[in-house]
Amino acid sequence: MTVMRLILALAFAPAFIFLVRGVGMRARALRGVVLMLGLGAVSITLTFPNIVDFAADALGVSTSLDLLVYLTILTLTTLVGYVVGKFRRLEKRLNVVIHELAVRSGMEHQSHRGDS
Amino acid sequence: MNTDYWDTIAESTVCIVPVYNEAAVVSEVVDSLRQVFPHILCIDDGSSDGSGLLARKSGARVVTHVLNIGQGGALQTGFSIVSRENRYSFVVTFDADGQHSPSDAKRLVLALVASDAEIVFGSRFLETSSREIPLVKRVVLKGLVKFNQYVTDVRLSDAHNGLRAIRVDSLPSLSFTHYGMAHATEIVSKSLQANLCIKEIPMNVRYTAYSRKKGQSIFNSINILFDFLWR
Repeated sequence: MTVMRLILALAFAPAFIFLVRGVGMRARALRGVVLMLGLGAVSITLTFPNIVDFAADALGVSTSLDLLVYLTILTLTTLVGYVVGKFRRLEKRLNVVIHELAVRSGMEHQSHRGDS
Repeated sequence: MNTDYWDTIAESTVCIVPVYNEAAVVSEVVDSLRQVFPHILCIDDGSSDGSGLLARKSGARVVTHVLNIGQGGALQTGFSIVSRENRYSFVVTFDADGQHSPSDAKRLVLALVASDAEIVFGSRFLETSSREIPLVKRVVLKGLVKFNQYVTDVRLSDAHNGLRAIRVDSLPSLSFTHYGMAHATEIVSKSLQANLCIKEIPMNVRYTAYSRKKGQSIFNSINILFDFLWR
């Protein structure tokens, strides 16, 4: 069980970074897959509660409720990280647009003034 | 000093002044600068108090950011314009809060012209000028100096001073990505990467109640740290 937890913990960090920071097609597709898997897991949990008990037992988590709490925390952390990253990327792009607009208007204004 | 000699240098020098909500002092700053430098380029970084208009009325050329993006972004805009126009040989970066003196800016440009340096930084910590810096600010700035030395491996005595003189042909090597206050550290690290020759000369800072209020606080230094580490 400890080995299983260790593997999960080690796998989570790079997966988290990839999911949160990735901007390519692959990262986008994987985010979709993770979202679908999450929704699927919720549906299965509601339909077959025993499966969660089985999964919790396999992962060495004491109860199925604990497992659900852990999964929720991981999902929310990933989501928050993704949203923050997305905002920062948008902010960067907006900054570039503002910078470029200012440079162009400055250059145009100067050329209209006839290089005084 | 020969006046003609300075006039020739001043004609090929442009002062870039990033301005953000400095209506209280910007006219005075531009007026005092214009007594030494004929070309002033103010970058109004999305001010909401009419600072840009006041700077223009005082005789500066003003370029406006439609939104506030930070002092680094304003300087980057100024650098881009100066590089593309190809009219000037030297650039001075000058804070708009009135704490710098135009005569110090002139000394920086003269030091740049007289030496092989590509960038001359003004330093508040050389000679005795640092005694005038408020204690808390001194501690914050010293912390930033240490951080700068750690990140860039360049031993400068003052890391986040807005007064610099730069050769225009060095500007392409200094194109920075940090649009906030972390640009000061990035300028130093880019200079190192581009093997630019750096020089520091002492300067005085005039701390008024206004500049103390607007200056960098401890919180801002934390922001700089996070800005630099995050990207």
